[in-house]
Amino acid sequence: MNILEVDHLTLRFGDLAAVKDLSFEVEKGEIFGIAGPNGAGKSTVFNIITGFYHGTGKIIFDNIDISRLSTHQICYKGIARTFQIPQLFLTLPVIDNVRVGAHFGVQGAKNEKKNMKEAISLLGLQGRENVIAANLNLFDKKRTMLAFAMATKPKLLLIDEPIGGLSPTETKELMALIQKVNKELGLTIIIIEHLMKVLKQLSNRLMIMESGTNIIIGPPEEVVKDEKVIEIYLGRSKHA
Amino acid sequence: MNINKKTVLISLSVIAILPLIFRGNPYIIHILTLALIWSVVASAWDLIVGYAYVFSFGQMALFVIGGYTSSMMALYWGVSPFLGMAAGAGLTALAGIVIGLSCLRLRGMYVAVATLGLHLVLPPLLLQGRAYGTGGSRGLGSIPPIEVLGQPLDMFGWYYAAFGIFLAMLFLIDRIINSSTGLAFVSLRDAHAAASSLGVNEYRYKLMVFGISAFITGLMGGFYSHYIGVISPTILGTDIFLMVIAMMLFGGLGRFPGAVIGAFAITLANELLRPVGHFRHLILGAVIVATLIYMPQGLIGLLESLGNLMSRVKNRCLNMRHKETT
Repeated sequence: MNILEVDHLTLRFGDLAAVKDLSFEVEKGEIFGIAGPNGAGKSTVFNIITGFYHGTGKIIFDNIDISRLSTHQICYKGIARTFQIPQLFLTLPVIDNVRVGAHFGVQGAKNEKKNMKEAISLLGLQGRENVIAANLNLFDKKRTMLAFAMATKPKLLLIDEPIGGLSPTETKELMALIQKVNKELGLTIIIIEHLMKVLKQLSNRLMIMESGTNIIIGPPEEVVKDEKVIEIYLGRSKHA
Repeated sequence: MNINKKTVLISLSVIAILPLIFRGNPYIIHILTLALIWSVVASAWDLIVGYAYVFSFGQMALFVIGGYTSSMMALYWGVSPFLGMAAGAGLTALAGIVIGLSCLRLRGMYVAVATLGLHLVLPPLLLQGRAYGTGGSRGLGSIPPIEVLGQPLDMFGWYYAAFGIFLAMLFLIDRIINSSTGLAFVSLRDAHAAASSLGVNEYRYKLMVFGISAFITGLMGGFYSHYIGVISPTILGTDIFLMVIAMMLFGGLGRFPGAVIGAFAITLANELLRPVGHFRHLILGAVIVATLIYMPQGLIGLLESLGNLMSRVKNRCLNMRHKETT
């Protein structure tokens, strides 16, 4: 069963088509990877799904048309996201960063304390609750971002390039967290990443984008063998 | 900023007994009354700029709207100052929301320019509004004072009336800052995209902060007009505008109750600088620039740093002592 259907999505900035006639579906409970060269439109797709931009075409989430909804309304429907460059409430401690998600998210103030505690525990942030976000290292910033997204109690989580800047150990830990969140909570995840090996390990299916449109969608082991994908990444055909 | 209850109680107690200390000097009590009024105005301005990061430059215009509303109701309709002040605050809140609606899609300096427009447009409207009872360039005079049991307030009465409103409004601001509304303001300030993605309705909270800040400012505008007995377009001049901005910055932007400390410091300094005439503007401007460069977190930030330094020194001394004894 599909939780998200993107149908003929297009977004233009003047003459530039950042996203061009893009269509794909995401099944409930899967991890759906998105990859592609810089400027392919990957983060723009996230921005459209979460209401920062409105393009033409349709976005159906959990059988609801969210194409024209605003960002905070889309959160109430059950979509949460992280950002490629960590966006945190830098003057607030970790616990208040998570509180924002818990208080204003899907369930509202009703289960705020419980949702905060669960999110902090899930992301291993115990002991760091009172650290001001500006003083966190990169890994903890990314975990805090995930925690406040999880505190909204989403049905779909969009993760934008989580691995950038992390050490191999931190990468491994973050990948394990993403898999845990997907398997234990049954949360559907769409993840954008540049590192193909990360996407191969995490994703059930993978979409490669280029110049605002999708080139191929399929299981990672098939996608990485596709000639067009190889050409996009390596600049020449494997059989040339 | 977290200030412990003991410090708050001591500070409020000192403010409460100041008129008794200076009872032989009505001029000083008048200056302290003004400091209380500007404390609330600066704190309300700090709420919208420092906490919600909405760069509104229309606060003095809102102050004047509240003042004129209350004064005109008292002068022309015989409405009691209490009701007039409440009506002025309500009308100003509505004006604040209308301004907020026009600024919803704007951010940063664009809000500053749009709201500065209100600040600049109001004086000619008041000047041209003579036929509608604004008093033109001379403004309104002989504004009825607040009376209790048929008697106008004396200097102590005005001070403690101002103190009462000061306590009420600062309590309200403190509650807002420490509530989910305050959390929404700060989250939109620090990372508005992340805040929106977590369910914070940016437009709703923007309107809310415009309305709340305008209500408080309009209330103080009404109180000011009944206290001074005169209100005119000169309040929209550069000196008061700069003075209140200096109060916020000097005290500590977004660091309640920094604006209160800033208000007392700047009000007193402003009076001390009267002998230098127009050079006051130059000095106020220099204070603003110097604060931004050398003390960007204001006096509150400086006090916090001193407090942290003292804690570290104390801990070091205790550790040394412990090492000596063992």
